[in-house]
Amino acid sequence: MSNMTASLTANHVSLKLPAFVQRERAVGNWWTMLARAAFEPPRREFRTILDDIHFSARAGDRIGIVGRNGAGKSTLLRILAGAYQPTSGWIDLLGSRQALLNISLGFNGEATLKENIYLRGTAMGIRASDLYELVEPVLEFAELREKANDRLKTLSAGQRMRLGFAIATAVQHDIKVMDEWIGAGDASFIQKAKERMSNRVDGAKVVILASHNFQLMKDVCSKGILLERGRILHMGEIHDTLKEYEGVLRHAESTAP
Amino acid sequence: MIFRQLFSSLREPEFWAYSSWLDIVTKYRRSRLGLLWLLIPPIIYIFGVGYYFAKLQGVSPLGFIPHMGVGYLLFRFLMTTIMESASILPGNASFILDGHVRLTDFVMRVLAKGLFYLIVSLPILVVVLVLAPQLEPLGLLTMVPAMILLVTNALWMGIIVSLLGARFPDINELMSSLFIFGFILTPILWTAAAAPVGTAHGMFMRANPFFHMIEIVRAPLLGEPIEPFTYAFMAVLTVAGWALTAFVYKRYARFVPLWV
Repeated sequence: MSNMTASLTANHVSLKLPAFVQRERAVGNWWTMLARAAFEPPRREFRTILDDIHFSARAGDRIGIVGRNGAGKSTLLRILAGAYQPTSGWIDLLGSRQALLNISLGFNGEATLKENIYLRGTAMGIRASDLYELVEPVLEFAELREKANDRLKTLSAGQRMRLGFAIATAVQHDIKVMDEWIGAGDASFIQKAKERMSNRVDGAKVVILASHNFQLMKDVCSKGILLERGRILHMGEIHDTLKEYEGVLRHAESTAP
Repeated sequence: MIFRQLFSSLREPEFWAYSSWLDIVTKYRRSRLGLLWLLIPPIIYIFGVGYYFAKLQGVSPLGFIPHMGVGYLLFRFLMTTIMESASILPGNASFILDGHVRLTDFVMRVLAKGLFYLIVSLPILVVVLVLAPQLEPLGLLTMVPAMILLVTNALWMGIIVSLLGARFPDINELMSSLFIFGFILTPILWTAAAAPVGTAHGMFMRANPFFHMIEIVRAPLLGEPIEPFTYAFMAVLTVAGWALTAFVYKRYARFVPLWV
């Protein structure tokens, strides 16, 4: 854990991505429809996924990102995680960063839990000498100690999520970028995970979290960003942002056919 | 950029070394013979197919089996490394999308696995070479730099193919046809003397980089004639290959997270 101050800034970040679309045409019969699906090459179109995203997170900020499906939340997280590079604009980063976007992926199903902890640990850049100390606390937190030498394949989705969460939060980083990690855990684990999140606020200086879970957002986050069609619609205190978001949802419901 | 990332991959080998090791041990863990499976296929190929083809061509098996064995093991290394590179980036998409964008790590994972298979089959190679009447002890010395050259070239090929494989999913299928053709085009089951300079098939063989990559290791070892052209080809291949890789990687590596 470093005592340096951490910050994460997005400077007018935009992202355009090519999308491959099939032409829409009136279909004569089954045969032509099948033949077209097989032989017609998709057309390439550029779509603006994120448009002029500009915000700054300082030490102590826990920012919740909300928005409807397809608003660009996950894409923004991947840019903040350093995976995607913006088409224009840039990210300023101070401090160490860890993303937890796919916490139940990236495992080797045939390997044991212990081996997978090493695997994910090395992927996160932990050096060999520190890996051994990682295993016990992770198994402890995930409540999977008795399965340490079982194959990972034998875990349920919820257990896998618990293991992924435990590994990803075992090491303290200055900046954490997280997506909907709360999917499959049971109630008691979710409580535990929330506690870990809150307890670690002092350590993780900046937290960026995307979720549809209002309660989680209220518990964990201090500020909020509402995305709609790739733009920031609202930015402010988390309670205000959630209220705005409720408005967007109500509006979408009332205009839906 | 490629060289900087490559050096940091080599300085921090934990991830690729451990993940390729896990790939290997977990593959055989549930089989009764376990890691012995690493030895069984090369034994069958080298001694079985080697004996059969020696008889078919009416040459001495003791002379032919080393030629075929060395060629087969090196070709298998090149083939598995380059072919697996085609699918390695999509296969590690979850790591890449979490911001693990040092792509050389993933290619090193494939290369390490290929090298491991090669090293495990060294005992077979030793047996074969001890039996070989034409063994040149001097060739054992030139084998070391020649192997380094071969691995260096395999690495840039793997990097290029990994980028292509991330962008075009059909590269996988192209690779398997390419390597079937490459196996026939490379003197493994036959000898380079059968395709002399000036013939059409001789030209084909000499345009095939795998021929030169294998020949530079094998020919001095087994006292086979090696053409100066092979040295020139390898020099050009190494320099031009790495220059191309540096350019392509710098230009396209940033798009990989979008492709996978």
